[in-house]
Amino acid sequence: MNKKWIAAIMTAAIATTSMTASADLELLEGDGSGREVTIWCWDTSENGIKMNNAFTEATGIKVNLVAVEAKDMAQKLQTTLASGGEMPDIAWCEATYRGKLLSLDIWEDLTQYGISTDEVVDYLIPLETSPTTGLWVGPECPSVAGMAYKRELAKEYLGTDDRAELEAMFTDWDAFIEAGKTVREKSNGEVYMMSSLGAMGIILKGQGSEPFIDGDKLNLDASMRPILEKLVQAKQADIIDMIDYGSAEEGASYAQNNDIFYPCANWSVKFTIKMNDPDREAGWGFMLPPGGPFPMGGTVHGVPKDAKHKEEAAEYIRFIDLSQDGAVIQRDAKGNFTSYKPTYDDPEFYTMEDPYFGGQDVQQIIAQEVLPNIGTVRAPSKYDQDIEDVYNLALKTINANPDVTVDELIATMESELMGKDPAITK
Amino acid sequence: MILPFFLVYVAFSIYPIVYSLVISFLNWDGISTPSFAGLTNYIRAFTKDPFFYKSLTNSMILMAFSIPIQIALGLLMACVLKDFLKKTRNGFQLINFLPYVTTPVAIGLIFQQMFNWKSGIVNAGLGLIGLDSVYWLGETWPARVVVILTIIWKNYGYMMIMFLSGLSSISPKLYDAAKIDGANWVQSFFKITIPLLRPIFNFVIVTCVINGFRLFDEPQLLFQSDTQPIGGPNRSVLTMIMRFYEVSFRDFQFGYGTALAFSLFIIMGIITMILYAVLNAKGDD
Repeated sequence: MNKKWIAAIMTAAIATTSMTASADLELLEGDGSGREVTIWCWDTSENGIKMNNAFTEATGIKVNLVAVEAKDMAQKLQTTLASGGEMPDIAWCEATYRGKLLSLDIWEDLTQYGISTDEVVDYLIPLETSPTTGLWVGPECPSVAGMAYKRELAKEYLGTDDRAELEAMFTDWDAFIEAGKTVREKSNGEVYMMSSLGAMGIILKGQGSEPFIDGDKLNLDASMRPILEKLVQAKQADIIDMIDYGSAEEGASYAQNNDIFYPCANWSVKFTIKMNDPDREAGWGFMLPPGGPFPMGGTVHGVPKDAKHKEEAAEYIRFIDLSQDGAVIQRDAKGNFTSYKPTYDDPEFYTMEDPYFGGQDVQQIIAQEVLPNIGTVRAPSKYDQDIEDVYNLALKTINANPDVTVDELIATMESELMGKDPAITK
Repeated sequence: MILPFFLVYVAFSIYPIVYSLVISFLNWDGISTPSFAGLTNYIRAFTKDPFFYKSLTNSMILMAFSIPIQIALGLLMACVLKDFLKKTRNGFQLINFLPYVTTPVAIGLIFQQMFNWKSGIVNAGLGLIGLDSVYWLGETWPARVVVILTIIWKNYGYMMIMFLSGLSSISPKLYDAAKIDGANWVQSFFKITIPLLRPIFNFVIVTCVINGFRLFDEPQLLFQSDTQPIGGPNRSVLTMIMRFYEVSFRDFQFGYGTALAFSLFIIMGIITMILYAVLNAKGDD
C-alpha cells in the first residue's frame, strides 16, 4: 500500500514538473532555412528568450543560447580555440574580462558586414575597441549609472529625500564623507552611507579615465591613488559598512535599514534593487553621485573569426544592437538601453514614472542626464583582471586595517602587478 | 593482449604528460603560434615569481597545521568508535565520513557563511560571549584558520576510516593480554595501537602531504567571487595549484603554467622521497 502511494506521488510530481517545463518559454525554431546563430551568454532567462524570439520572428534565423558564466567566458573561448572545438557565433565579453578578451586576436572585423561605429553611442566605442589590435570588436548596451538611495533613511539622517537637495549637499566626495559622519552620529552608529568599499570604489573608478597601466607601464599614482585616498578617508571616517561588494550580504542589505546609498546602473533598478528589496514601494530615490555619472559594467557582443555563421551573427548584431526595432525589443523585453545612437534623439523613448522610486522617471533621467554626460572613459586593458585582483586585495587591506596609508597600498599593488607579469614595468 | 590497454595508457597518460612537458619550454597563449622559450619559464618560476615561493610557503603552513590535527582527530575518533561506541558505531562512522563526500562547492559556501564578518554564526557566537568580531575572510591568519578548519572538517572522517581498517587488523588478544598485565586504555593505546598502526600512519602522512601540495578546492571556493582577491587577503591562502590555475587559465600563459606544474611535481617528488626515507628509517628502528 505504501509503495503504491509513493509511486502515485512520484508520478504526480513528475507530471507536474513536465507540465511546468512545457509551460516555460522556449526559443523559436526559425523559418526552416537552416540559418542559425549560436550565442555564448549568461542570460538564458525568459526575458532574454523573448528578445531572441523577436529576432527570430523578424528574420527567420534560429537562435541557440549556450549558458556560459561571465567569468568563465575567456577560459572557454581559449580552450575551445586551443582544442579546435566549435566556436560560438557571438560571445559576450563582460566589463571585468573585456580587456583581456578584446586583446585576443580572435575577433571578426564587423565593418566587412556593413556595420560601422557611426551609429554607436560615442562613449562606448573606446570600450569596445581591442587594446592590442585597435579593432572595434562589437557593440554593447550602454551601462551607465548614478546613485540610488533609501528615501526614509535619507530623510531621517540627512534631512531630505529630495534628489536636487541631496545633489546640492554632496558637492564632492569630501562633502559626502562629512555628511556620513553626521549620519553615524545621529544613528548611534547603526546607519552607514554605503554598504561596501567596493560600492563606493566602483563609482570612483568609473569617474576616472586615467589608465591604470599605460601600455605595460604602471600608472597607479595618477589613476589609483585618488580612488584609494577617498576610500581610506571614508573608511577612517567609518561611513562604510563592512560588507564585501557583490556578496549575498550586500544583496540582503538592500532590504535592511543600515545602508543609505548604492551605485545604480540602468539595469540595477530592475535586476538589483527591486529583486533584493521588493517591498519598499516608493522607498527609493535616484540621484547623481558626487563627481557625476559614470559607466558601470557593460557587455560587448563580439563575433569570433572562427565562427560558423558570421553573416547571421552580423545580422543579429545589426538588428538587436544597432536598429530602432532592436532598441524597442531590448527596452521592452529586458529593460536594456540600446547602443544605437539615433534612439536617444527622442527624449520620450526611455520614460517610465516608477512608483517604486516615488514617481521618479529613472529611465528618462539615465537616458537624458546620465548617458550624455559620460565623458572620457578608461579604455580596456589586457591587464584589467590583474588590476581588479590587486584592487580587491587593497579593499580587504583597508577593511582589515583602516590606518593603512595609500603609499603602502600603492607599493603593494605595484609589486603584486610586477610579480604577476614580468612584462609590467614601473 | 595488453596492446589495447597500452595504447589507451599512452594516449591518455603518457602523451598528455609529454605534451605538457614540451609546452613548459614554450611561450604559448593557446591562440598564437608558440615560440621556444628554453628554460625561461623554469627560471622565472624559481627566481622571479614571488608568488611561487609564497604559494609554496602557504601550502606548507596549511599542511603543518591541518595534517597533524586531522590525523589525531581521525585516530581518536576511530579508537573511540571501536572501544566505546560499538553499538552506534555505524551511525557515527557515517556522520563523520559525510563531510568527506560533501561537494566542495557546498563546503565553500557553508564556511563562507559561517565565517562571514557581518552575518556569520561564528562571529555571532563570539559576540554572545563578549568577544569582538573577527574579520575571518579579510585578514591573513584568520583566513588561514578558516581554510585549516575546512580541511580538517572535510578530511578527518577519511582518516578515521583508514585507522578503523588498521585497528581491525590488530588482534584483540594483544589488548586482552595487556589488560591481564594491568595496562589501562591509555597505556594500551600508546604501547599497542600506535606502534601497530605504523603502516597506516605512513600511508596517511604521505597521502596527506601529496594532497596538501595539491590543495585547491577549499581556498579557491572560499574566495571565489569576482570581488575577492585570488588567494585571499595578502594571498595568505594562495596555494601552488591555485597559482598554476591562475597563470594557465586566467592569464593564458600555458607555457609558464605547465612549467609551474612540473616545478611542483619536482618539489613534491623530492619531499615525498625524503618523507619515505624518514618514515622507513623510523620503521626500521
